[in-house]
Amino acid sequence: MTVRRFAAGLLLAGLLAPAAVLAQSSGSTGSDDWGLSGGDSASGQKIFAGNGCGWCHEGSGRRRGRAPQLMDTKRSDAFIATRILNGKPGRMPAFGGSFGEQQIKDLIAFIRSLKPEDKP
Amino acid sequence: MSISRRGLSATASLAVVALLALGPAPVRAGEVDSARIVEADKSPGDWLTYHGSYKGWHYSALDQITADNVKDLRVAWIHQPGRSTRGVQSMPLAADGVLYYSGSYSRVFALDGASGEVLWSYSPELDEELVSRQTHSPYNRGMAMGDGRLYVGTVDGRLIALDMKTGKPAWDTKLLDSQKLTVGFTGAPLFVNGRVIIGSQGGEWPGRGPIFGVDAKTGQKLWEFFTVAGTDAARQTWGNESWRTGGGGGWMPGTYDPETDSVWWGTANPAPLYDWGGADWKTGGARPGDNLYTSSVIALDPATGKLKFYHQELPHDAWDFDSAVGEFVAIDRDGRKYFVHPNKGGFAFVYDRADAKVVNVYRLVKNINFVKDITKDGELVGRRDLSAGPQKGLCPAINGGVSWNSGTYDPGTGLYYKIGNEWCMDLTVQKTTPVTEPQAQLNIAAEFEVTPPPDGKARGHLDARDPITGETAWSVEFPEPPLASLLSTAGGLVFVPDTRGWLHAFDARTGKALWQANDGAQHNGGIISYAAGGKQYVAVVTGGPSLVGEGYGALFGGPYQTMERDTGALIVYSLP
Repeated sequence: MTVRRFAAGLLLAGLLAPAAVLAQSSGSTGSDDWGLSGGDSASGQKIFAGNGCGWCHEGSGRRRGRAPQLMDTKRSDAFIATRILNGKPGRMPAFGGSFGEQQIKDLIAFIRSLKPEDKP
Repeated sequence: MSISRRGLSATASLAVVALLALGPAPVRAGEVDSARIVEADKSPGDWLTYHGSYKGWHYSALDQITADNVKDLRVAWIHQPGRSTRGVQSMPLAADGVLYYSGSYSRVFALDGASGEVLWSYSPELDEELVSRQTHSPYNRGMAMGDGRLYVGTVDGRLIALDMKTGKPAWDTKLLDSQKLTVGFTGAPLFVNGRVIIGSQGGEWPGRGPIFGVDAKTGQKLWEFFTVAGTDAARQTWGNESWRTGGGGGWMPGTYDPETDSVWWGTANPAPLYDWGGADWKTGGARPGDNLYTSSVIALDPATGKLKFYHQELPHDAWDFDSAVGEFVAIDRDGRKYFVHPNKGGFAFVYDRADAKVVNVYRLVKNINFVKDITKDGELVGRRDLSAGPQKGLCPAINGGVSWNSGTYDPGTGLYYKIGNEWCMDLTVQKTTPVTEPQAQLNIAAEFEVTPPPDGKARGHLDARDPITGETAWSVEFPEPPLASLLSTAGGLVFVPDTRGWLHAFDARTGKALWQANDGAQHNGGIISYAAGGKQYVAVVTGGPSLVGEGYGALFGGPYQTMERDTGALIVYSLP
């Protein structure tokens, strides 16, 4: 187990301070170094729709709405996972008490799979 | 210099003593009861309940500030509450020269109305971990006042009573299992004859949106009315057991009609917001049937919570156009007694106060196509029910033809002033399954994009209308819909706080712009007028964004893309 995979495990268990992860992941692009790859994008799409994520991330995350566009995000997998787990006060609710590791992976896979609506 | 709690109490005591010694309006907060709220007209220097009085006019009979001298209006004092996540969205209250208001996280402040000096403040300890899991949080939209206490709800499901003189809690009652339901209380309570009425959040959450009656003296729950399937008959209007996750709620305060001893309340929409049943909505889709008592106006017995009568404004609301706007404007005309109630879909309903029979319906906005029309007796004609998949140009947008903040009625002009919103949206309806474990999640069942309407740019307008017929006397257009409440005064003025930070004053008879000042932050909450030391003040809250205003950056661009968030203040104006 790499240090990063271990950190990701702690992160998903809610044991790692998000600030520490953000400090390491800020500005980096998506990768599977954090053990967050392998999600199912179709499952992630259902989780996204069923939990009201599109309320803020318009067009299934393809456009900016109340919240940032997710398609083509430069944020790392770890950043996205952290934000889903812990939220951001006044901006985004925390889903750490609701989603398990696989659901986080599925959501990340869905976000990474997003393409413009006219380009399947 | 830090001030200890003991020091603050001493300061507050000195301030009260000073008021007693110097001011013409001694503190007699304990005397605020329902009788005084019923007769609010007799104490125009006060603002005793969310809507100003049970008449729901948002009108002040104070007349020192007039069309002639409003140009001299300037800031008298400012109170900065700090920690204003999503801004200050509340309606201040005032009694006997003391101003009270609530901010984010249900923090409460009592201020000397003339100087702004803090008399006391109160900050409840909230379940912050729960707050971090909420979307429609942690703003608070106001309080109730009565029997010497203030009453404020919390986003973690509690109702708290505070002594008006000291700010010390008298009781703290847990009403909602917010850990499970996710939602709590953001709307102001209503005080009625020794009882405190408060409605929960709901709408898009898979709960049953109760409204509670609580004993003001003890804090004990007296009753609970479910806006989803609150009676056996209502349960029959939810197919496939969908009432279990039906949404509802009553998240803005209604009002009280003393003549029929009835609490009038507007209820929220059913969940999911967007049903995919299409034309078969009575038998198919997510929640087959009329879905009583969502998107309805209900009248409850304040002692028992029993339903007395109701009108469902939108049977099987498939568009998130709820009736939760808490505005009930009491109008007496030609021997008849009416309540005027705006619906989020952009129509105003005029009710007979005796039984909620609809006597007229008129449009508050131009761009409406979720129905072709609503008849004068309240029947929906030409419904646009939705199926799963893409839908173009639904009007108005989810933000509503009107938002939750209130308009105002001026008995001097006989005109009702209200903001209308012109915008539409494209959406894709998606079939969803309600999520209730381990905690409830939003059940929207659609994704959407707000768009300009067919007749031009997205915009707002202030309209002055006859409240019963809807006939327009004058209108003023705004480049973006203002999202705060309005205030009219006996000085012949209508005050409009807008989203760019400007506070405007218009001539109530003509709509002529008379004065404006910028408060340095958007407005998303209340505005009142009150008196202290014999002088008239106008108090307005600032900050945001609200959930609607949060989308202004994407829709309107410009300053909204970078406007500072999570600021807030109370700004008080007076003449020199």
